[in-house]
Amino acid sequence: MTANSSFFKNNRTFIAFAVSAIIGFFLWRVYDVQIKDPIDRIMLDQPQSITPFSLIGSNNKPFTNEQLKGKWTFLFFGYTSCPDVCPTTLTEMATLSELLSHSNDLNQIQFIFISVDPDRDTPDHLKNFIAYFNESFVAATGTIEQLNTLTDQLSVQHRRLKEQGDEYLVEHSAELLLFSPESTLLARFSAPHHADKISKLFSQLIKGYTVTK
Amino acid sequence: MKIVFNKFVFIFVIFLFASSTYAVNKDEFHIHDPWIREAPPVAKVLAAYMVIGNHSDKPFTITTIISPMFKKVEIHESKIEDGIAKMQQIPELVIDPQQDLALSPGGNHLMLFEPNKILKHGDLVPLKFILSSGDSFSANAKVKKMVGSMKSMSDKKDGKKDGNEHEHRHDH
Repeated sequence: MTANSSFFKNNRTFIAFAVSAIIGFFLWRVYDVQIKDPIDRIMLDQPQSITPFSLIGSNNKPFTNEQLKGKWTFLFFGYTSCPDVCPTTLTEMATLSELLSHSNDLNQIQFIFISVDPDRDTPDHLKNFIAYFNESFVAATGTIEQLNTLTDQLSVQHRRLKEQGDEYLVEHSAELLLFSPESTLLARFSAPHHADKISKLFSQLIKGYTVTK
Repeated sequence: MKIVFNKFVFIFVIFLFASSTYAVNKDEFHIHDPWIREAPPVAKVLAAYMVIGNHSDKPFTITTIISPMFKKVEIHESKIEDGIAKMQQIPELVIDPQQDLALSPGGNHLMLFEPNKILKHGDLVPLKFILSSGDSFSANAKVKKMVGSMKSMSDKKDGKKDGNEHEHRHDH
């Protein structure tokens, strides 16, 4: 008992510091998870400029940084032999396009799907595939080296898994990326994607963007 | 020789009896709302979703699924790990006693390879589920167009049903 009392007396400052640190850490976690504005969770601290890249579009024309300029761009990486996550996300993107059309000029917003499976996803195949989700959606691909020029700077991962016969799966980042009309990366939406949530966040984001521009 | 033959017949009859007593009753195995997401006509793979119900007191193990409309059907699991979409084949589906197992977008699903025709909204696709017990069940999955319906896939994940009828058969 005496030993305990002297411990607390001698280490009062340390204990006060430790208790504050624990409370502080707890409040920070609660803030981060519960209170922090969802928009702050998706936004990058600073818009990220994109260095030149060169892919091939589903129209068989070059697809470069130029295609990101002048429009808000939602970009998703995937592949067409993906039966679940990719069509689920592209369906959400189609719903998002419809939702955004209510209060935005869709000529100012574009939706892009980049295949990280160039061996199977030729530009012609991509063209037929993407049109199903929305006629205005754009697709592109490139050699693995060309793709890496873009994905490395976006911290987007993609990896072809071991083949089973003539089939193989591809692992890929499932985030939906948002670029500004100045072709800078602004926000990353993590999966699973919900069109209604993204639509609300986007509306909030572009209001703030016009003010700070 | 005759004795040996009789023994064999006896064991065979016992085996038949034993397997029939372990047969899964059709009321115990249910496939609820099986559906396939309509895909672009050029798609080489599709996915099927459903809820599988086990209303018995023993686990069911689905080992094989076949469909006359696809080259191959595999059980797959999708998951997002550190932001990466990963998918892997799983060898079998085990449904615990008195439990439902949901196959839903972004999770477990049936991966359907190479349809032998373009499947459109409203088409019915026969699926045959073969259990480790040897029993098999059939269900018709309905092809649904999800694009352009303004219906978020999240509604599907929440298990909302649209009242579609589906055929459900028990095969032996």
